[in-house]
Amino acid sequence: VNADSENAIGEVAKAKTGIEGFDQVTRGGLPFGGVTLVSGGSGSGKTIFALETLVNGATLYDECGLFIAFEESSRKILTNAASFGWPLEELRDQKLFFLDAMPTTDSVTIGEFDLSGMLAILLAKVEASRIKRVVFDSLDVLLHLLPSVSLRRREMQRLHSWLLEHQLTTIVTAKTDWLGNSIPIQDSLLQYLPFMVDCVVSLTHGIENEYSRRRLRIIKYRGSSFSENEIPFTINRHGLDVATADVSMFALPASTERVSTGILQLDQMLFGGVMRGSTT
Amino acid sequence: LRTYSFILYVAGNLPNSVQAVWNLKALCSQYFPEDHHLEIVDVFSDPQRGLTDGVVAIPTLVKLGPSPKQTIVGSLDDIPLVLRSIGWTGPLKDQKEGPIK
Repeated sequence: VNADSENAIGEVAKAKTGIEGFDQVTRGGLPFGGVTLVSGGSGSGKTIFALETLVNGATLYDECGLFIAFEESSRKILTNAASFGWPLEELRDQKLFFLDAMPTTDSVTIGEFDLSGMLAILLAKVEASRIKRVVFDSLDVLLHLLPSVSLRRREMQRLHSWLLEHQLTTIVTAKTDWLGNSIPIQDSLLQYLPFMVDCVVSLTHGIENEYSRRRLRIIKYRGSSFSENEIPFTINRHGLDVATADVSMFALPASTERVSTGILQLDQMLFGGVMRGSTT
Repeated sequence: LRTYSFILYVAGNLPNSVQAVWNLKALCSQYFPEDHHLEIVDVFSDPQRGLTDGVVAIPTLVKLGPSPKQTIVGSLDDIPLVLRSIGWTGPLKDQKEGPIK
C-alpha cells in the first residue's frame, strides 16, 4: 500500500515524498526501505526537504517518522519550519518523533566507541512507535564524532545494513557540495558514501543575475530510471516547490489559423498572415 | 570531600563497553575508592534511558559532579587523560596492567 504501485515493472518500490515535482522526477519518490543521501551546501534546503518528507509520510501515507537531530536542536528545527503551515504540533509525539542527539560541545573522545548502542536505542523507538521513515540530519556531525576514516567507513557500513535490515525509508543529509566543488573534499568519506546509498540527491543554491536560483538533481538512483536534468525549485510558504520535470505534459495543439497583418503584400508573403497565438 | 558522580552508558558486553567499565572501575578504585558514585546504564536492556538522555555514542561517560558536568565518549583507554578531563588535579599513580586488548 505504501510503495508506489504505478512505477514501471522491474523498478524498485518507491515511497512518495508528497513533494509533487520530486515524485515525478524520481518516477515515484524515494527508494522504499532504502537510503537516500541528500547533499548540498548550507541553506540549500536539505533539512526542509527531509522534514517535509516525514510530515507528508505521516499525513498522506500513514507512515510514522523519526527525525534524529545531530546538528540543530529539534526545537530550533520546529521553529524554522513553523512558517510552512505543516501540522507539526498535532503530529509531534503521535506520528512524528524527534530525537535530539547533538554532541555536547564539551565532549571529548578517549578510546574507541561505535554506533551499535545508538542503533539499539533507535530500534526500541522504531518498534515502539511503528516508525517507517527516518531522517539523520546531518550525517557529517555524526561522522565527525568518529576519529578515523576506517572507523567512519566501518560504522557507515553498520548503519547502512541496519537500515536495510529494518526496511526503513531513510534520508541522510550531508553538508557537502560534491560535483558542485565549492567545498573541498576533506576525506575519502565523501568519495565512498555515494556508493553506499541507494539514491543521491544534490541540492544547490546560488545567485544568477541577482536572482536566487535553487536546483535539484538526482545523481544516482539504484534500480530506477530518473530524469537526469537539473530541476529548478523554490522554497515557498508551503515548503518545497519542485518544477515539473516533463515539459511535454504542458504541450498544447498549435493553431493553424492565419491572422491578417492588415498589409496586403505582407499577408501574401505570409500565406495569409501570421499564425494565431504565435510570436513574430 | 569531593564526591565523584558518574553515569556510564554501555551496550551489553560489546568490547568497547566492557573495556570502559573495566577502565572506569580501575580508575575509581585507584584514585577515589571511597568517595564516588557510579551508575551503569546498559542501553541494550534499557534503550528508553538512552533515548531520554540523547546518548548516541556508546560507551559514553558523564561526570555529573563535582561540577562542571563533563562528557567523555569512548572506551576510556587513557586513564591519565580521563583524570585530567574530569578535573582531577591530584598526583597520578603508576598505572597497573590494563586488560589485554
